[in-house]
Amino acid sequence: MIQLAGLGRYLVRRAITFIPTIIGITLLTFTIAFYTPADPARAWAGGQKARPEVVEQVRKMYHLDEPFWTQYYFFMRHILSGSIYSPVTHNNIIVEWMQGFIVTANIAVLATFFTIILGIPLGIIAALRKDTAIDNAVRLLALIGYSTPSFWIAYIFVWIFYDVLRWITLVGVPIPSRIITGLFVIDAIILGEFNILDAIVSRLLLPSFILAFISFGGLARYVRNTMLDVLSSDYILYAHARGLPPFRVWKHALKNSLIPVVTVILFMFAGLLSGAIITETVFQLPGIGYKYVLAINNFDIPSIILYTLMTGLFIVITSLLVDILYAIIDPRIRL
Amino acid sequence: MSDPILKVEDLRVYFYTYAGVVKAVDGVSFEVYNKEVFGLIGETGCGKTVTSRAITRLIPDPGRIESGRALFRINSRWVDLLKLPEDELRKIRGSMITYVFQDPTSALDPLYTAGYQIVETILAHNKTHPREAWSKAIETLRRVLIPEPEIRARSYPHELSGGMKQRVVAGASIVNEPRLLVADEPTTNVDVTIQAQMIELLSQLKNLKGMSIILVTHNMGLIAEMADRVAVMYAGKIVEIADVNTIFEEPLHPYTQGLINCVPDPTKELKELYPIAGTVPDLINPPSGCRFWPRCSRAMDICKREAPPGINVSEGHRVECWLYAGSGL
Repeated sequence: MIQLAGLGRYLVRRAITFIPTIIGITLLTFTIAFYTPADPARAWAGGQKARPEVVEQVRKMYHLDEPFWTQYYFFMRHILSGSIYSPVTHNNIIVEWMQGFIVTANIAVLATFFTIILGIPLGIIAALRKDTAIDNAVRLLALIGYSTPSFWIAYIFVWIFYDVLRWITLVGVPIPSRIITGLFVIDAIILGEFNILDAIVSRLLLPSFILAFISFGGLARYVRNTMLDVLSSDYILYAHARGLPPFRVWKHALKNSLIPVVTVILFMFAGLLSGAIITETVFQLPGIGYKYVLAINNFDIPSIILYTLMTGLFIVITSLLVDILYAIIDPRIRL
Repeated sequence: MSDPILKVEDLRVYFYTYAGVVKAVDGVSFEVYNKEVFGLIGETGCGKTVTSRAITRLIPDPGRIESGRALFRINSRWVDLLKLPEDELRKIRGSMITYVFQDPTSALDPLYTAGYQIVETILAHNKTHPREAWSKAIETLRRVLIPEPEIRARSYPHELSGGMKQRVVAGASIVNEPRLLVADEPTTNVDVTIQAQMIELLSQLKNLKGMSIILVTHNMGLIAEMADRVAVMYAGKIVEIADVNTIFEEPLHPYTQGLINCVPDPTKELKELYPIAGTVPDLINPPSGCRFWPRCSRAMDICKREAPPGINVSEGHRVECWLYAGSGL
């Protein structure tokens, strides 16, 4: 097990390395926005028909007439202090981001849940039945999931479940009366609001399932290969040689397979938290991915920087989490 | 002495690879007597490890035990280990027949402490309280000469040196007081001082507990030091089997003679070593007839055509070679 003192020092050290990463991400995003051959002030003021004095006013307000570094500093200071309003929607961008995030997080949690409950058992079965019809079926499923474009499968599912069967809804996001855990499904169950639960399920289940559909096959293949590696290792053979009962051999096999699988799942989850642009757009879900595309279309520079920043932050934090989890599972790793 | 506890008869283990069928063990027969050290010697890849593991069916995919019997004596009753249900065989592995694996680094699970892995071995075969098992594990670690066993029991494999890991594996193999211990290259991965300690330890265990040992090695010196009887393996077959003195004093098979000529004798003035020409044959398409003929300086026509029969030269001395086909017997 890890020593807590070591963990504290490690966290501080890692947090310090966050800073250059985050600065780098935001700087890169801003540089691209800065050199894009378009006038943000004009776009925000209303496009070609905007009156020149309004354009000038917007330009002054957002310091767009000042040099690169001053502009960058202005955006960053106001984004980090949460005091900047979107020049397009006129809402506080942090609040907007949070509204999108709660939707995306709900889908991400459900999608990860589906991916895990489908991917891990299938992977284990494929490993145990290596080179049989079951193994090949899992391989085929993984291939289909990988290579199916998500917009295509999303439209097909919408056609089946909305147009034909009328099982799902495509408008709004139903929310329970109070937010407890932040997960709508669980909150609705806690509050006993089953009609809302029903609405949530028919709204969020399908997009989550589509996200799971394109990744569970990959996870299953990964679990299979990890499992096969572990099962063919010397320590598993030696566990048999020591006459350990099957459940004890399994304990060795599973714990050793767990480490790389947990990593893959966590990074997948971090990716999902950054928003599923295509799926959210098809289902008209106001999550981060949906809002991100909107911000890009509107040339909403502060929102673009914020969204990129948060995505970067999730990836960095996930890799930190993975490191800590490794240290807990694997005694060979000391932080 | 001649009171066998294990009789292996015509054992064949084939590996079904993409390249073809590897006949790793092809018709091996031998006996292991009570309280003896039975040496199994041969070059890398000759099938000695596979033979020793096939006894308890520890053959991973794509290997398959094709035929043969491995009769093990339990309370004066003979049991064929190759036909025993998996569940009953499991009860024999790790308690009556135990293994010291070749590479201690990969034999121990990196995620569990040394003590845990020994305790696990105890609990798999005995109804003991875990706390008692823990103190027994520490006692065992002390017996295998691990300094400060209370601390080492809580160490993870990566925190132990190679020699110490080897001794932990040895500890796990003796903790249930087996009747037969299979020691696969027990000294290869450890340095010389530990080697001597390991040999000492194994001899002590043999005398104290009255167990038999199958010593799998390519080290002639270790065989001379420890073994009572020796089987020489070449390309999946036992080419000669005899007691250790006969093997060293009057080796009959040209391969055995070659092996002994490869080892410097410290009591005699060193003149020249005679390596055996050529390399180990491909076991997918082994040479016709006797598998050793392409490397044998005394090969005859018949060697290329037909596999030699097993010839009992004298009591307990068997050789598979055409040179002795007409002689005496």
